[in-house]
Formats: sequence, C-alpha cells, structure tokens
Amino acid sequence: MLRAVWLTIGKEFLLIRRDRVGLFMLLIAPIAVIAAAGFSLAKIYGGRTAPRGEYSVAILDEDHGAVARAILDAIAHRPELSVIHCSTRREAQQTVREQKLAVVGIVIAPGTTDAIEHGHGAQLILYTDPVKYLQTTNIELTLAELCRQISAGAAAQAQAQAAEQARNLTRQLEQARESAEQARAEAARLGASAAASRAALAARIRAQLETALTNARDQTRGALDAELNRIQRKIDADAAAQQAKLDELKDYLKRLEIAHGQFETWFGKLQQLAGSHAADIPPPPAIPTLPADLNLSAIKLEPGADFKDVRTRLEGALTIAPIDLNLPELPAMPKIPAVNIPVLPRIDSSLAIPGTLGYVEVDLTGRENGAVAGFNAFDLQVPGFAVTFLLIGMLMGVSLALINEHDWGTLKRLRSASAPLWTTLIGKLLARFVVGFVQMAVLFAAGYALFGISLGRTPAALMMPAAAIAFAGAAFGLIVAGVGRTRDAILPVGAIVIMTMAAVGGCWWPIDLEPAWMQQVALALPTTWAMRAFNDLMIRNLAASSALVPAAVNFGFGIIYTVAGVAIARRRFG
Amino acid sequence: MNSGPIIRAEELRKRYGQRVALDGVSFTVNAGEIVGLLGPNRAGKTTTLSILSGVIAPDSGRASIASYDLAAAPRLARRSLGLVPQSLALYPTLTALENLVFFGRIQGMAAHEALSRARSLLEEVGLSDRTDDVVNEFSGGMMRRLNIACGMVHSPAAIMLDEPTVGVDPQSRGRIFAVVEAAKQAGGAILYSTHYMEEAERLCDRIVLIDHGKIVAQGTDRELIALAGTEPRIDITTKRALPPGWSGGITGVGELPWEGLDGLGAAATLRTLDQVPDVIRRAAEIGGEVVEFRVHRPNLQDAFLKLTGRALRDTP
Repeated sequence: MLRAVWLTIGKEFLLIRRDRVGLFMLLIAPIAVIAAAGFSLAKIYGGRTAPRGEYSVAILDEDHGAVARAILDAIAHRPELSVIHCSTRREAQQTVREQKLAVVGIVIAPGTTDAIEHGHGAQLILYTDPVKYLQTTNIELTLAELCRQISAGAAAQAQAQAAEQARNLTRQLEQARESAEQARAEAARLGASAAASRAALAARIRAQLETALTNARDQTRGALDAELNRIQRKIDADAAAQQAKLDELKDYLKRLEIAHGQFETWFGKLQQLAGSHAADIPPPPAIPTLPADLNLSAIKLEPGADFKDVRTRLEGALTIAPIDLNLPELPAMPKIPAVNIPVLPRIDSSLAIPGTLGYVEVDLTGRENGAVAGFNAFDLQVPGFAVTFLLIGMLMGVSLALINEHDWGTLKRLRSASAPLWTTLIGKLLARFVVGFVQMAVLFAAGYALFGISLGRTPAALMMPAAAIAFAGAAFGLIVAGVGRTRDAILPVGAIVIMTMAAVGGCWWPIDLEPAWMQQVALALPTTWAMRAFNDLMIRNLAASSALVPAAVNFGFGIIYTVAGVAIARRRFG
Repeated sequence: MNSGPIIRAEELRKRYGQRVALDGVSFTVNAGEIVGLLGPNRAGKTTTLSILSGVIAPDSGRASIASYDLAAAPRLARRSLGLVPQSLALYPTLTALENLVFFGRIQGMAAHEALSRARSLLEEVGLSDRTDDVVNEFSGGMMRRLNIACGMVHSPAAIMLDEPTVGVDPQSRGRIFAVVEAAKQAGGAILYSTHYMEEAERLCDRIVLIDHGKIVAQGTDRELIALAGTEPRIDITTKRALPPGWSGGITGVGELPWEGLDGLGAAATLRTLDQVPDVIRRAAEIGGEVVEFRVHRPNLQDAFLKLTGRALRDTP
C-alpha cells in the first residue's frame, strides 16, 4: 500500500513538472499578484516611509506668527512632504484642484498664533481633493501629528512656567507652615506657665483661708462659751425661783386640801343641822381635785444643765473641714490649632493649560515606532496571497486532478489495479501537500528577496503554519473533488469557496477590518488560523510558540477534511 | 499458473436503480483463449468487464481471476488482470514510457522490470519511436495502442479489453489485433468486448452474445452463425418506411424484425438470390424508392438478430 502511495506521489510530481500553466499559477502568478497588491496597498498600512517628496502640499501663510513658523518648519522637516507656497487662497485651491500639483492645500489663517497664545483654539483650513482620499488621509495624519507636536510644545512650555510658579507657592506655603508651628509651640508654652501660676496661687489662697478660719473659730468658740455660761447662770437662777414658786404652790395645795376636808366636814354638819331642810340646801360647789397623776411632790426643778452637749455639738460644728479651694478654672488658653497647611499638590498643566493627550506607540516587538506605526504591506500580502494561491493550487492539484484522473480513465485503471482507491487519494494529497509547502516556502523566499518581508524572530517557525495550511488545503481539495461532479462545477464553486475563505480569513486585508460577526465566522476557516499565525510571527514578531495553536487547529482541520474527503471521494469515485 | 479457467463469471447480477444491467451472466475464459463479448450498446458488456476487473461489485454472483475470488482476495485477483477500458486511460502529460512504467510499477513490478517490459511493449505496439513523447501529442490510434499496452504491461494472466478499437484507424487496428493475438499466444486469457462482429469473428475463439444483461448464446462463431440459418439475406433502405407485410406475395421471402436507421431499413431472408429483383421492385413500389440494398450471407449479425430480434450496432 505504501508503495502505491509513493508511486502516486512520484507520478504527481511528474504531472506537476509537465504542467507549465499549473507551475505558473503556483509560483509566478502569486508573485505578480503580491507585487501588485503590495505596492498598491503599501500606503494603507504605513509601514514604509514614503519616498522623498511623495506628497506635495500647497501652503498659504496668512498668520505670519510663531505658530505658522512652527508649522512650516515642521513640514519642512518631513521628507515625504514638499511645499508649494501660495499667496492667495484662490491660488491654493487651484493648485490642488485644477492644476493637481498638490494633494491638499493648507491655509494658516490670520490670528492663529494670537489665538493659540491666548488659550483659544485655532484651525487650519485644508483644501482637499476627494479623489485623493487616501493621500489626503495620510497628509491629515501627518498634519494631526504636527499639530499635536506644536500644541504639545506650547503646552510643555506653559507647564514649565506653571511648575515654577507652583514651586514658589510651595516654598511660601512651607514657610507659613513653619511660622504656624512656632506660634503653636509658644502658645503651648504659655499655657503650661499659666497652669503652674494658677496652682501656686491656689495654695497661697488656701493657706490664708485656713488661718482666717482658725481665728474665726477660736473667736466664735470663746464667744459661745461666754454666752453659754451666761445663759446657764440665768437658767439656774430662773430654775431656783420657779422651784420656790412651786414649793409655795405645793404648800397652798396642801392647805387647800386640808380646807377641803374641813369644808366637807362643815357641810356635813350643816346638813345635819338643817335636818328636814337639808334637802333644800343646794349642794356646795365642787372643789376641783388635783389630777390623780399629778404628783407635785415629785416635781423638782434641778439647777441648769452645763450645756456640755451643746458645747460638744458646737465644737463639732466649728471644726473646719479641709478647704477645698474650688478656684474657678483659668480661662482656657486659646488653643492654636495645628496649622495644617496642605501640601501643595504637584502643579501640572491642569492648573493653567489643558494638557495635550499624546501617545507613544509601541508595537508588539517592543520597538517604539513613533507616532504612527505600521508594517510592510508585503508582510500581509505575501502570506495572504501565498495562502490564496496555495488553495487555488489545491483546487487544481487535488480537486481538478481527481476529476482529470476520472475523465482520463486512469482512475478506473488504477482501481482495477491492486492498489486501492485510498492509496491514490492519499498519494495525491501528500504530493500536493509537499508541493503546497514548497510553494509557500518559495513565495516567502521571494517575498523576502523582492519585497523585504519580515520573517519574524524565528524564520523556521513559519514552516509550522505553512505546513498546516498546506495540509488543510490539500485535504479540502479532496472534499471539493468529491462534492463537485464535474470540472465545470468544481471550477466556479471551488473558486468562490476559495476566494471567500481567503477574503474572510484575512488573506487580503487585516481580519480586524471585518465586522465582529464575520470574525467569529472566520474562526471556522483554516485561512483565518493560518493568517493569525503568519501575522503573529511576521508582523507582531511573536515567539515561535505563538504559531503552535493556529498550526494545531489547521492540522485538526486537515485531519477532519482528510477523513471527510476520503469518505466523500470514495463514494464519488469508488 | 493456475489450472482451469482464468476468468470466471458465475451468475453475475447487477442493477442500477430499476434498470437491470446484468441478469445472471456466467461464462469462463481459459488461458490462451480469446473470448468475445458481443452485444449492442447497453447490453451489459462494460458492466460485465467492470465487475470482472473489480471496479464495481456485483449485486450477486461470483467473479474470479486466476482462481482468486475478486471479493475474497481482491488484491491478488487484480494483480492477475489487466484492464483496457473503453475510454482511454492514460496520463496525457506523461510520456508513453512514463505511463507504462507507472502502471507497471503500480501493479507490483520492479523499476527495471517495468522499464524493460515497457520498452518491449512500445516496440510491440509500434510506438518505440515515440517513447519519450508526451501522450497528448499522440494520434487517437496511437493512444489506443498505448492504452492497450498499459493494460498488459505487467503481463497479467487475464486481459480484458473493452471495445479497444473504437475510432481507431485501420493501421492501429491491425497493431491492436497483433498485440491481442500475441498476448493469447503468451497464454493470456483474453476477454474482448466489442460490438464489431468482424473483430469478434476474426479474433475470438469463442463468442458470448449478450443483450439486456443476459447471455443470449455463446460458442464459436460458426456455432452461433448456424443459429441464424443458411439463407441469404437482403437489407433494404427505402425512401419511406416499409410497413409489415410489405413483401407479401413473393414466395419464400421472410421479413425480419429489423429496422435500419430512422426506421427506413428493412431486412428479409431469401430462398434464392434470384428473388432479389422481385424484392427490390416490391420495396420500391411500397417504399417509394430503394436508396440502398445489400445482399449477404448469414453472419453473427444475423445470429444476433435472430436470437434477440435486435441488430448489433452499425458495422464499421
């Protein structure tokens, strides 16, 4: 079986060698198309510096100010621009439109410098030719960059001045902060001194108060003693006098009691004397009797007390408690708040002049390309059209070749031979895979030699996606051969499919130009993965490992296509 | 070499949709024998050859080459056969030598062996002076000869030729006949499909008549012609079509169910050649005018006509 495969491969190489049209389509046609596409589209991708004087611009300076001079100076330093000076707007317009000597006309209107210097906007006037859209866009980009640079320069100067002023302000604020700190320290010292004086004063007051209170207590105590003694004497005398009176009363009562007894006796006798008229005798008035519980004999007025308890209580009252000298607080020292002078923020242009938003473009290789980076259009066109023509080669080499084998009758003869059909299919596929791979290698070599394409960090890594797409393409050709019934069917259908795959897969333009949904659809196409790998390696300058996944995906596509293609072809030709 | 028939077909049946292509075809071809497979278009000749060469599989029945069953041992069977398809089967951008060497090697020959055999065959088919010319520069006859050589390059035990002389000039036809006969002399079992009865009569040891997928008869040419009887036959082409019974009234003339091109032809058997003028006169009366007539002795065409009621295709 293997022998049949090898023999088929050898036969395919012979057929290819004899097929001059096929060889032309494999090698020469792609280079021609690549050259045409690459040179035509080079300006779009901006990778190559335009030749000296590539674009002419008509300039009319109506401003004659510093800004105008800056613009003219900047344009003069752009090698790709050549200047045609005009003296009137009409002349500038004619230079662009009627005479077609310049791509655009630039008018620097009067007052431009004045407006800029006073912080106002200003606009250049551009006369454009719509037919020269791309050139105009390129010049507009250049002008935008110039304007940005000029604005950035002015802004930088203003920012420098603002920064100097800010530094002065900062210095003054720093001095203020130091003065405030000193005042605060002095206030703190005064506060401490006042507190000490207050404490000393309170002690002195307390001592004087205590002395005065002691004197007052002693004087009070003496006065109280004298008065108490006097009162005691008077009480004693009063008590003795009242005792005498009481004794007299007791005596009287005693005699009254005796008289009462005598009256009772007298009255009894009277009644007896009255005999029958005793009842007519009115009863004598009742003599009140002493209350039973009044024992006058027991009452005895003692001499006065000695006021010992009173003295004791008074003494206690005169005891002076420790003086809690509740001096009123000194009025608080006015606290000098910490002077929190904020750190002056770094003064930038935002204080005075709006900053200019610029950018530094850094491509994936880490190189700074300046304001506008790009790539050699051939870095896209060479792999793109190599893949396209690879697929076309597969259409002719696998699909049409199988139809040819069928039409020539050789397929029937081979099927009657001892080699099974699949050996023919696989042999043809492998031969075309090798041819496709060689085709890619030749086109890349031609691209490097003729168009200076980048081969990336590791040129050998390009073999991975090249081999993968060659395999997937060859296998896809097998499917097309099985699906297409005739040469007339295969050619248009195959061409449409290949062109669509190439276009959608980003072979002709960066896939990022396509809408998002189309980019999603493109993931189902091997061309997309091939171009992703080539772009990563050649344009993005990524490491060889970046091509592993895309190459693996395309090998996966190849395997799927091979299985499907052999099955379909066996049904079609078996 | 295996004993017994080299090519064996047993009860081969094949349908394409509703159409029956083969309906129980059985025959054998022995070593050193040329068997003609004769029949009109769509009779089943190509289908038979395609099954016997392993290109398509039968719906039922068995086929074997050199005792190798095509279904059980296809590689061995195919290695023992050489197919010369009806249409050319050559790589037009390869040279004659490259074509022969490639097909020889694909059949298992060593490189030097294939090269030697290719040069020998090129000599045999008269193309030794065009060895290194690419095929698309050849005439039709040269291509036919090379086509046959490619089927024989690996010296197969069985050779199948499917109408190999279609559109071939007399010189090339002679070369082809010589090559086929040489292969027979070399012991090859040759199945020769054709609708040219003259080729079959000239080349074939036995003939298998096939029509509508069925074998109508098989045997030597003499045996088959005998089936058609011995009466002379006349074919007439008239200006207007002759209706059935047009020969009524002429004793001993039997109309044959055959129509020529456009329905303007008629055929009839004659008792004797003396009846020819009467028949032509009658045909002219009814058919308007006799455009052409031909009188001949019975052949395979007549046998086929007698057996199937249909004519073989136009003769060369």
